[in-house]
Amino acid sequence: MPNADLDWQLQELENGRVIPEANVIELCQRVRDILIEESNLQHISSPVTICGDIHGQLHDMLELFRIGGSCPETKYVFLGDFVDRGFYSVETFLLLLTLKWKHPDSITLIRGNHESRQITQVYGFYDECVRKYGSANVWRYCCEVFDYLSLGAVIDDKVLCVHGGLSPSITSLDQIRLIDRKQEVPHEGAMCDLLWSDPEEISGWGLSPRGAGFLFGSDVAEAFNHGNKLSFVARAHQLVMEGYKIHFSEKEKETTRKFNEQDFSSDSDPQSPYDDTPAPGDTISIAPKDMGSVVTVWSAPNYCYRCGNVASILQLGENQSQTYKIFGAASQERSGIPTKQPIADYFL
Amino acid sequence: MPLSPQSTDSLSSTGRQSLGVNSVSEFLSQFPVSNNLPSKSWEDLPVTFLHDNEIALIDPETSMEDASSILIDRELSALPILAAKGSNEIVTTFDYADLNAFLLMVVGFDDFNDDRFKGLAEKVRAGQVVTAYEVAVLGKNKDVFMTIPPTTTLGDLAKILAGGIRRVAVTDESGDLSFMASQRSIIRFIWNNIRAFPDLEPLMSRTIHSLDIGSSDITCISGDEKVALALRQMNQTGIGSLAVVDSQFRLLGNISLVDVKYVTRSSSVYLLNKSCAHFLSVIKSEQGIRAGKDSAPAFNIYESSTFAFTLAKLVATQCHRLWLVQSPSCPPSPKNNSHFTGSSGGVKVNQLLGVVSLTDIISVLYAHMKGTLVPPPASSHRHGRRGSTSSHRSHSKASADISMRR
Repeated sequence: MPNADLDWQLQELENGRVIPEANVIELCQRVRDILIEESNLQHISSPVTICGDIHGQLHDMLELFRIGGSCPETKYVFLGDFVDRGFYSVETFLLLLTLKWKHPDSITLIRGNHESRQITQVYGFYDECVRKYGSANVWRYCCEVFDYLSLGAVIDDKVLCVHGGLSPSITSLDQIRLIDRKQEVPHEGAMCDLLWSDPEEISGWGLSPRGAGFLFGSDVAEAFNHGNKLSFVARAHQLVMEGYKIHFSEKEKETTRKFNEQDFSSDSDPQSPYDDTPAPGDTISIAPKDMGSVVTVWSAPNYCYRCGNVASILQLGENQSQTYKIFGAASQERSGIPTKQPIADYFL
Repeated sequence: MPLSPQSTDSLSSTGRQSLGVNSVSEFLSQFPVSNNLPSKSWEDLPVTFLHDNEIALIDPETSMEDASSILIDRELSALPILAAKGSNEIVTTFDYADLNAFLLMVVGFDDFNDDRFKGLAEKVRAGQVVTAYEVAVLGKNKDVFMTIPPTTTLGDLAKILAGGIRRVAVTDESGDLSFMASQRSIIRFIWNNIRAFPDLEPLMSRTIHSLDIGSSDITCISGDEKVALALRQMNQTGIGSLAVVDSQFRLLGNISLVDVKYVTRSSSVYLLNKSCAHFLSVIKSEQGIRAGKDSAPAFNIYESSTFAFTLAKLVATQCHRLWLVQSPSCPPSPKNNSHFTGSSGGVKVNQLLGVVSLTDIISVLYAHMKGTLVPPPASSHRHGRRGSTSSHRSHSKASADISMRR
């Protein structure tokens, strides 16, 4: 398909209009052909911009591209969870696929736990496909693309990007490369864990309250990074009100220590951390002393159109410098999403 | 402390994979050893060790609406009702089964042969306040509510809970009602302090299969059926949770009595007419936004899962039961295959096989304490028959009968 048609396709999708099923079939086929050549862990060099969950919030993703720069001028890694929950999962995912077709070397899409047949039937993408196309065909084509998405990316051999987190079955990056990824996300095992796990203030490993994947502590993360010569792990998967979060930094450990040592028997207020909630438009560069072994990047502002959070993208420079750009939800006018009216709600 | 030899042979590769490490003991060894417990035997500890809440109480005059708000906002499973304001005696509890019955009655389902319900319905139509007590006393399947002194040991409590009682009230030294001790809180306490109880270690690597627990007598409902039918079924049968399955008997999720809270606002009554599959989406989406993290559609284990994994999952997910489903890597045992003689290709992955309840778990702990636990099989090829007459099994049936009520 000549590039002119791809540009038309991009324009349609950016305006929230679905493209014909025939176009979807070809798009999915072409992108599968590209993805099949990619490894479980895609190798990328900086500078690159890392983005977290999008969840069908198309207009906020367009805002993301305005903040971060257009592709291919800016290189992107998306950490998965493109679909479900938002009202424009179809357009969001197909737009990313179109960019992948047009600029395969400038955008990397890795798989999130929502890029799954089972999950999309519960959290909205399946229903949206049936509503917009009248059948489940488009959903099926997209699920086939999901199966081909990489499990992660490594930037400059120094930063591991995965959607969820670590796995007790994985101690080396080579083990990730050995996984047979071309399947539906399993309920357990290494591939499942990479897409489902969360960092947590514990030692070692714990079972996840999500019912899949694990919780892992700073000791696990630090050992993993050390063993694989990584600076840190960049992941998404968890809503963060501030748009981003640095886990297991020295500052966070110190705050936790101080909190635990406080005397709660008196009436005095505990020392509260200074409030520096980021606002849209902020640019935050992380000093080396404030870095942590794991970071969460969350790119869906005002999640589900009600959580009131900001979002971020992580601009990774040379020497793994981290800069977070904060952005908020696209204006209501632009997105056309109706604001939720509070309903006078009466108990029966 | 090394595992006893007979416990390691029951670990299948899937059992190992469930905890992601080569052995259960490796997983357990990372937990800190609590050194502030007065006994190495959990059964000897007093119930005060479970004191992690303050009891919430209502009296016979509390309205349905107020009681429901307390139940929902404080995320309780049941709300004890005092005999009278200022009394120290609990007469019954108000729970989600009552809320469900009330909802069905108000909406107009004629499932109630009891005239007293009709009387309540008239009160509602007349705009009069209905108290939680009025509804709670009509509840069937209610346990007799028990209150125990603070000196009760966990072993004695386990005996009570192993009989199917879900929760009891505990008094303080003066005899005043203090806190609730439940099946979940005792399991949580034991798991969180597992390394303090060396006697339990051999139990940890036993598989669900070898322990022969869980019931295959489960009521499920098709994802296509309406929510109203699910709520009516739970009201009629008294069960707390319905497995929602697809046409292949694969587990989609579950609708529990507690989920009736999503339907009791007037803006949400339309959900009664929606499919169970749609309702699962509503439940999961709401839970995911509140927690900031989405969870798996259903919480399940395999026959090959270890007891340790089962405890860990119950505590981590805070669920009240784990569904037993067909594992992808473990071939189904002959006894499971007999359920599906009509299906092509045998049992499918994620197909629903049974359910393991909190009562089952506590029964195991109690039997282990008494020394009456079914021993592990001598060889890995011997399969115990599900439904064999083990004294600690609570809901087993000799014939596995997965019913689809329509």
